[in-house]
Amino acid sequence: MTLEVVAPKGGAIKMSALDELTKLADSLENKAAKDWKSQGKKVVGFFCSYVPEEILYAADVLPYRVAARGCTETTSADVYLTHLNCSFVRSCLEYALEGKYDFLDGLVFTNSCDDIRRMSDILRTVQSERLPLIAFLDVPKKTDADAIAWYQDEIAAFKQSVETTFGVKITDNKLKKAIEVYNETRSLLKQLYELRRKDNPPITGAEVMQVLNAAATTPRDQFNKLMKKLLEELKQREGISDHKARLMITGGGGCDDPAYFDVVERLGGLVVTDADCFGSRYFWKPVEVIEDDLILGLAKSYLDRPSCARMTDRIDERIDFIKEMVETYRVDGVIFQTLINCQVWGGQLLAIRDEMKKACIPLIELDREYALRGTGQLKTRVQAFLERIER
Amino acid sequence: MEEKINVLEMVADGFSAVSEDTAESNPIQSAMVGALGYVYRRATEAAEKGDPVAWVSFSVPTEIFWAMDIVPVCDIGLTVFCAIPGAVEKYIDLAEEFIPQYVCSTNKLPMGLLLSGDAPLPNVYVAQNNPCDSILGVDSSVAKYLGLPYFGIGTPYLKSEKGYLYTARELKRMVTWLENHTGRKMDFGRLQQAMKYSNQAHELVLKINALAAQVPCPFPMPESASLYPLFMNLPGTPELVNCLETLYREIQHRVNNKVSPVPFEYEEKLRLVWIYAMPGFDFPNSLNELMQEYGAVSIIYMNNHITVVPTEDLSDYDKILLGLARKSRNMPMSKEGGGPWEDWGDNSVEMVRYYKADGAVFAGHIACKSNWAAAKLVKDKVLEETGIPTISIELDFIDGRVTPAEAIKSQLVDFIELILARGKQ
Repeated sequence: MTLEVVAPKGGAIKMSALDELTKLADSLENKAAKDWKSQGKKVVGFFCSYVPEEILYAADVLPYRVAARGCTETTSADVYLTHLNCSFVRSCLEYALEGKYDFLDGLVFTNSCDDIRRMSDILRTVQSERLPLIAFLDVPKKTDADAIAWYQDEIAAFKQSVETTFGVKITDNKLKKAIEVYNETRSLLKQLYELRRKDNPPITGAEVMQVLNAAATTPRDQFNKLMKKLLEELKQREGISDHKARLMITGGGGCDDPAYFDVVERLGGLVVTDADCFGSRYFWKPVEVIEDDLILGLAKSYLDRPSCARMTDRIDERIDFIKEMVETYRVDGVIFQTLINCQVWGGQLLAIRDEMKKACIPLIELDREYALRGTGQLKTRVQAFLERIER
Repeated sequence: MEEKINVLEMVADGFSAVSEDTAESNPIQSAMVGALGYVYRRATEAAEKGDPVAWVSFSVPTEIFWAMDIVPVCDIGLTVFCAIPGAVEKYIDLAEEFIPQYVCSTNKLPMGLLLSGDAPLPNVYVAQNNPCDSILGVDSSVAKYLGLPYFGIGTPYLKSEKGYLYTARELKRMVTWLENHTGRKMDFGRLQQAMKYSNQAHELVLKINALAAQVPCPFPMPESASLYPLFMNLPGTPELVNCLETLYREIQHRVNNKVSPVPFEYEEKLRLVWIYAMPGFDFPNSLNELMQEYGAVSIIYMNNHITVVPTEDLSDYDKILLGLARKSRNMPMSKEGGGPWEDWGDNSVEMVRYYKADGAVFAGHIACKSNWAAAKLVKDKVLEETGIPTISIELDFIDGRVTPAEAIKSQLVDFIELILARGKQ
């Protein structure tokens, strides 16, 4: 089955790999996860891109990045949380309490941000009996040698916890293989992003988001095959040429909803890159394979990724990465979107806006809720921004 | 042309004047206000002389700074300004021109103050990632924007000896960084002295709170509310010790002589503990009215329930840093808001029991997202383990425009009447 992909002003073409990836991204428990479970294997959810998925994959456990796209009500979650909390976390908690994640055999939490660590508190308290594995990775807020050593210990403890819970042994060979598979994903996704550097990129931001969402929930061997096919198919696809401006998404809370990109792109902006947790920051750098200490390699590499605002010592790197992306992808304007109540990114806005201004990079700030609704204001503001920056 | 002002100096002057005026009539207030004013006086003088001033987030151990002759100004400690009507809104509003409204007002206040130019820029900015994201997000951003040297102390989330050792190493790195950026050197003898003062202060606050737990309460809110701000700025100084000694002596005098803590008649019928924040704006009158009208005494709020264990071994630099690391993670707000939630639940139960409360108040600062996310768990635990009900009130700790004092009082009145009607447990 193929999907009719309509580029902003292009013709319809057949894209079977994209169709398949989109389908994988469209449902909560996708076919790949179901097939995986049907083989008697485990699926474990995680909430933050600082979690080294390779540990789970090496244990023959499917790492599944938890999201709650499509959640429109948070009635159950709001017994514990309030309107003051981030709507991504409220939505995820809602789905957890409604049993929509019951196909998961465990959850891995981190101290990514205040709301996520509290979700860990809540689910640890109310669902610990249901989940065989509830793990917590205390991710350092810095990236120096001491932080790396700390995270190395955390990952080692996590590995042990996975082994004990699921009765498996994660050998060095298995772990190395998992790292290689994941690094291949990273490389393939970078190739996809490379195509977006073109004057007329062959893929929209919304479509890329679908691909990324599939990556986050699909066994990587399977995903990588589809990605290779997609890259081949994209070579045949006509580039998008009718856009008014090349845009970049950055900011906080993770922007994983293709519909959000779609709203922007239907107005004539083409999202050509990002500095986002669900996007480039997730895969930009490969994990270093340190033969005699694979976990050290994981610790170093995960902390050294383009950073989330949760990292206290990397504000310069964070700003430089945005600038680098702007230059590399010839971005005309940056959308700084943040989930309402995401204070860690909200606070960074002062410095980021100032640095963009100094570099003459147009930036628009957009607060949003996790569920995309009432897009009128979003459209108005993006429209005005596009008019300002239109080439 | 508008005349340049220095808010820190103005506050120091104001606090000094109040301290002098009340020296005879109200020695407790005089001591607390005087000690608070001392910080801003020292910061002002240091800025004038070109001596180093550091703005720090709360839970950063100030003992190190005093020992290095660097004046530490706790940025969130500036919220004491909200006791002055109209003093904070201007700066919060200014900050909101740059960052979203939902960011914490206690971070927006110092940010607005610096951006306005109404306070001298510090030489360095030091922040600790605990207890919340807001500090993390705002402080590094402000420092970057203003070109101030910035050091972020990384603190592990989960509490453990290993984590305290990690934080101690971070503190050691911070000292080296401070030496490089301020030219001041760590003097071990001075650090030992600062730690002696700090230990004395922590011993004294335990004794003061033990007195506050007595029935009737000799040191209730709102009078006691300024205790915590003292611990944001002054640990490591003799000024804090002197202040607390005065407090202890005066409160003990009240107990011994059955002297009322307030200048009006009331009968203690109901005891409330505030297991989280309390309004810092024009709320004292409301608390006094509740005392007078209902006999409802607010004994203490979470941030004053300071239970840090003093650092015993002062013979070794590393051991001192370890003690400070442990302290910074177990000071109020860091202990509870920094998570995990069980620490807060245990602390709240302990407060209810220790202060013999009949009701608990969860006055939740709207910007403390993580604290609201723990509210139900904490309140349920308090009810299960003590049978004591908790009321939740949404407010901004320093900005009375969010939930005005009258609205808060009205909710409290309903709660008090409910408890009185059903009879105390």
